[in-house]
Amino acid sequence: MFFEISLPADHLESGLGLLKEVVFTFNLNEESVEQEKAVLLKELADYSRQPEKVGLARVYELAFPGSGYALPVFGKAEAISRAGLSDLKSFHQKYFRPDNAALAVVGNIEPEKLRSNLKTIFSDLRSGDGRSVRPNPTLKFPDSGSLVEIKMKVSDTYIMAGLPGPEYNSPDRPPMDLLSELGGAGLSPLVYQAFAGQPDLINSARLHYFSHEQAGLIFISVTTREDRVPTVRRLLQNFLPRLAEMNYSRDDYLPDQQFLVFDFLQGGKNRFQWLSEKMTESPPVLALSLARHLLLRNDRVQKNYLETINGLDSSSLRKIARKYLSRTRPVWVVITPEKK
Amino acid sequence: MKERGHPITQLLLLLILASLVWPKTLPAQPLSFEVFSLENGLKVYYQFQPGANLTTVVFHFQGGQALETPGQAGLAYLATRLMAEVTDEDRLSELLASGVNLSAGSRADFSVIQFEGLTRHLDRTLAIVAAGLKNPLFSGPRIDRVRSTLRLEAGREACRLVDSALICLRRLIFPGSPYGQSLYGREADLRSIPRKDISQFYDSIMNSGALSLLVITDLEKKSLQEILARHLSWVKGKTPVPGKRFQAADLPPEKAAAGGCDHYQGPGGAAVALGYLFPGELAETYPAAYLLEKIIGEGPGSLIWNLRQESGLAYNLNSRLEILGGRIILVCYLETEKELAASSLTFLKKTFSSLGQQGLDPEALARGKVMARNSFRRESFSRDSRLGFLSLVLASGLPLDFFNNFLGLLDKKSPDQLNELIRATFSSDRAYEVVIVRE
Repeated sequence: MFFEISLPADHLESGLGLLKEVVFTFNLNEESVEQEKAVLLKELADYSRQPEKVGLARVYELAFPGSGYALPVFGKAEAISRAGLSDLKSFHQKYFRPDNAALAVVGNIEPEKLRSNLKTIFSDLRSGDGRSVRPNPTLKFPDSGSLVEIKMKVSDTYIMAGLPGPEYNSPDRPPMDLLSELGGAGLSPLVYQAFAGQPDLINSARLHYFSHEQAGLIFISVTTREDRVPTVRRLLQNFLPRLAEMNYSRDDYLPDQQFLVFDFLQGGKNRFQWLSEKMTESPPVLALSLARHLLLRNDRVQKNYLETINGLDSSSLRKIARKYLSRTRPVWVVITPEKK
Repeated sequence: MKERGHPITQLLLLLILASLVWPKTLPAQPLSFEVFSLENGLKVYYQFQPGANLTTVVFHFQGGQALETPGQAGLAYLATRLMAEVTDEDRLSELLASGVNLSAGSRADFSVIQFEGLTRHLDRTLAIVAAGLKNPLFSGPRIDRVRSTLRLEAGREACRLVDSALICLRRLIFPGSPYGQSLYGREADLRSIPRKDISQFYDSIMNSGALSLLVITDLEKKSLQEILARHLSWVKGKTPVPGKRFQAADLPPEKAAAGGCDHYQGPGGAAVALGYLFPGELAETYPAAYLLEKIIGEGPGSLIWNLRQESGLAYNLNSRLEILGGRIILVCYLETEKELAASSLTFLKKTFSSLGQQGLDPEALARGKVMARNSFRRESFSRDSRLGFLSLVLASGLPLDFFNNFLGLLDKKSPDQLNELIRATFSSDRAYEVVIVRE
């Protein structure tokens, strides 16, 4: 959960005080809880009309059955309806503690002054027993790739696939980040190669990698027509192992062949550098990201991330593709238009 | 600007990359552009932003959807997308290896082609993009492919409640104008737009009268000028033509209530969109309208927030300003349950009527001014927002000084001026309304 406040640097002290009050003071009553629940339940109805959200939530449900990751982040109607003031209070007491939180401040600030402000404002908060992450024994990607079909009032057919990916602190995360960047972003995302030579087969294709504390998910989403679902699924299934055999760099070819090929690897590395430059222009994103990193990182030695990315070669990408994309059967969600 | 790649991917990557730059000192965002011209008259709006090894170039074409005639819905988007295509494999390979982002799209009154990447790749990227713009390939298969993409985008848009309601609202305010269609076009029009129309559209905007460049870079002006002159001297000079203007409907109250919207094709649900045209000159009114929008619809505590929080009548409740053909519209929209649509609309109209009658006290206006200032500064952190706002300013025929002095213009608005504008704008007989109820 994130709480963010943006304000002129002159008002930092009062802003921090306000943030502390919002986050660490449980200031709800029955009436305000019921009011918010009513609105949330209506918003749930809105989510249920959005195929991307419905599909992604079902993929998580299939990929991590029985775990917290299987629950939709926007909630379930029955859980929201059931939640009472005392439940929320217990939840707040359990998780909204300074030893279970991280604070990131980005802006035109003097570090010494900030330290002093933080001490004054936050030192009266009481810690609990420290933050401990319990490994979830049920967190196992299913061996048998399952398939769920859903009918919705949509114009396209959506085919979504989920595969297990490295968790946040895994050394496999940087190569998977790079591989997913090549797979799903840029001028010529690799995922489209699954359908090479058949330009009319699909409407769009995306590939993302989500890393969490205890798990990761590789998510592929393709839009197409209903009658093409079997073909698209087959081509996608055939394509994933091919990522473990692919030549990503010009260096993989003989000198006289290099001018003929796309240098995906160099393109991906340049995109990472570009995005890291761009990110300095967005203090809220930077702060949010730093807070997330402070919460999720473990005690393992952290290498410089960009250096790690720049040190990757074709073989590192093939290795990561073999480990995560070749050996597991994906879970599938297919959303088709309701018949008129 | 509609086309920005995949925001989820970019946000994820930004989150991942954030820890890399810490504790690098963050550059303060520049808030003004300067303008210079190349020898062929091509205007360049330049913002120097040292500290980030990054260059963004926007080809800004005056005239987007507004240039379409009946039967051409989607032409602006179609032509702009085709103009941005890199048709040569070698050049595509080079762009791909440099990792640049390239996007294109159209809005109501302008079209853009934009690329962004590391500054060291600017020269080659510009050479490639400019070569494509000089000799675009409007071949049958390419046109068909982009047409098909636009048809799909239009289909998806028609399944979104609020987007559909907003299209119908524009249709109501500017009847018979191109603004009443989806930017992605209409099935029948897309199918029948001939190649000749695409070429004519290209000819009409590929000259220094319609095209200007917006550049944010860490390159010194002289170096940038040299690069631009090297690759863009072929652009033909032409005197700028003022943007097209369409008559807004003079809407009597009984007609307003009819509303309705046949654009929506999605699942059951209900949406309400309410629009108010601000009177007066754009340059004079826009800063005040910007400020008022913050008070009216900027999240918790805003005037319309009660509709969600207290009365529980709506969700996905928001407001925004649109500038179409030089007119400013405050648009307020919400989603709700079918049976609550009518009462949501009544509540919303009552809120605005009461605002129009009572105005706002000086304290509320002073708070709004602070919010507007901070909001503008916060939005300006992102170069995409700066470029988006400048594009809007230029497309509306406003001078660069308007952009550069925007904070000053906000400050100058007195409580009396603001209340006068409130009274002139928000009355029930000036409300344009659209209600969608789908079982």
